[in-house]
Amino acid sequence: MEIIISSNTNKPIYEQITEQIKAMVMNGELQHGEPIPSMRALAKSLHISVITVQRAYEDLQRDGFIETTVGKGSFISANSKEFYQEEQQKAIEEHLLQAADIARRCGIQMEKLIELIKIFYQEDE
Amino acid sequence: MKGFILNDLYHISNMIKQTLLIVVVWGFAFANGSGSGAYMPMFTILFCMMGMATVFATDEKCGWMKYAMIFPVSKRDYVLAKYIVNFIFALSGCLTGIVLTVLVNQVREVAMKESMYLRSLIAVGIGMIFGSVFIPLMIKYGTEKARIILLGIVMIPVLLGYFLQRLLEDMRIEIAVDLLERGVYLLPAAAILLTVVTYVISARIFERREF
Amino acid sequence: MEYALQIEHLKKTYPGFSLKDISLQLPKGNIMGLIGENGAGKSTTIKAILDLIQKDGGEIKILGRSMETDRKTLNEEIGVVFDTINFNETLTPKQVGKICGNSYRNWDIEQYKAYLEKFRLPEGKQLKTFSKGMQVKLCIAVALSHHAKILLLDEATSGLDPVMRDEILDIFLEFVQDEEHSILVSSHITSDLEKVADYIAFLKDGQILLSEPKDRLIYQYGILRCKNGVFEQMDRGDILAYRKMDYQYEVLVADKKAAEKKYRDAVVDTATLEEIMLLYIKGEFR
Repeated sequence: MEIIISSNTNKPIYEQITEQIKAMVMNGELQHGEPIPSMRALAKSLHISVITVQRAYEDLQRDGFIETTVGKGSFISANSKEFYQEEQQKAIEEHLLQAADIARRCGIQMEKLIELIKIFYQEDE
Repeated sequence: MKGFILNDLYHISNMIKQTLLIVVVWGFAFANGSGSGAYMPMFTILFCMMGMATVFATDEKCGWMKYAMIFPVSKRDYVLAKYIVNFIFALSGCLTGIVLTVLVNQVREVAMKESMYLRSLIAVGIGMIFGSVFIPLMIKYGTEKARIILLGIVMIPVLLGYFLQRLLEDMRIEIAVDLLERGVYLLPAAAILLTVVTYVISARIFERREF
Repeated sequence: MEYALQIEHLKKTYPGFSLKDISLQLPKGNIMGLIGENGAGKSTTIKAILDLIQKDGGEIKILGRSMETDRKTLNEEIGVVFDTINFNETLTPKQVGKICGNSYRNWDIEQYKAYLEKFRLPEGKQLKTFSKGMQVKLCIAVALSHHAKILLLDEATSGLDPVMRDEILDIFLEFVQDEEHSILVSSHITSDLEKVADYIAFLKDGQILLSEPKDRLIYQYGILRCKNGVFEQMDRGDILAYRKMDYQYEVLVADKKAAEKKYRDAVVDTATLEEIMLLYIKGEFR
């Protein structure tokens, strides 16, 4: 597991860790049931404080990505991929809610909105 | 506490060259002087005074006392270690004195005077007395001031002894010598007493000390 | 007992300086940085913890016990590194090892030798031939070789170059791999603490001005910069400390995000430990 920490961005280090771990789960680099380094071991490898990694692991646990057992360590939980997609879907819903709101208020039709979504989705292909 | 004793002994052993030089110089200086029995008390006093001054001065210079308090020892242990070291110096001084006495006696083909055991005991006692009085002075006042104070304290009995001797020369000499010899037997006991008393005083002073 | 160190209302008065009501807690398994300028009271606090000086008030518990009753056994579990070496300079690391071996119950000679090798310290050479960095490393080797549970460092890294300091930070993190181990570091080099400290306590003139988890200081606190006019309008409650510069005011705020929303005319940046320290030292505060 490779994690890269940047101290230059405004993004807190614990967020960088959670994001990278989530991304690795999504693209299959980390599988269900796979162990991840203990909090302290990771802190040592990354040269950061234990409490920062603790925060990251707590967040990951809260979001359902990992499970930590005392004495055994931390593992990627079984439903992590689904949790992540759920999380991202919530984020999408929020954004779409805003978009729909704005569209309604200034009279943009629903068909136009769907067209825009299609264009943006296909942009990178 | 053993560690502290080791610490002091290491300092001295690292200075072994200087020590040997002093021994040789003094040895020669007094080879023609007073009787062969004088070496032992001379060297015990020398070793105890110089040795204790050195170990305390080194401790002061590198801030050892503060660090020593980090070790799993009580404050008294530091003081106790110093007294044990003092005793070791007294023994070494005595031994050196004996060696030199034997050597000089061989060279000058002079017979051995009286009992070496008694003289050794007295010599060790004298050395310990000097060291024991020196220790609390150094703990309380630091090495520099303590040296001066000790000099003052030492001068008093020396001067007293000198005047007493002059006085007694005018009186019955035999009584004086007899008294002196009796007094000398009490010396080891006096040394032990003084050691214990000064240890208690030193320990008390050290307990209150801040680093 | 989940605290490695608990200080409650510590007081110590000297002519000209005093520690006034210092309280601190260090949970086990963590690293706490004690920062402040020279003369703020960091060394005095550490001396009080180690019972090198007598307290005028307050209570200190190390690993749940107190020095007054448990000095000998506690010192077995405490490792200390000061800013200067206190061993006589004619000693060699080997002799130091023997001295410690005869002092500590749990002296681990193998561990000591391993550290000597790791730090490239020659066993048989006198300490006076060592550079300052090597001397400090020796003291660290000693502190780590008797199975100590808590490490106290008093400005130990001040004279070291960045490479050595980095090596030592590594050692700190290695030490707290065991969650029974804790470290209290006093330093005025904030960049080191910024990386590895879990908690930060800031000392000024014998008082604790703040004691927080480091992440809160870095990610929640902020430095707000604004013009005179904006400053005058600010809620006094939002201002932790401030400094009047030539063209602007610099204000330390506890909640960066809230301040950004509330004071639109101002610029709010992330605060580094050094900036926080400077603001508290040079600025005004409540």
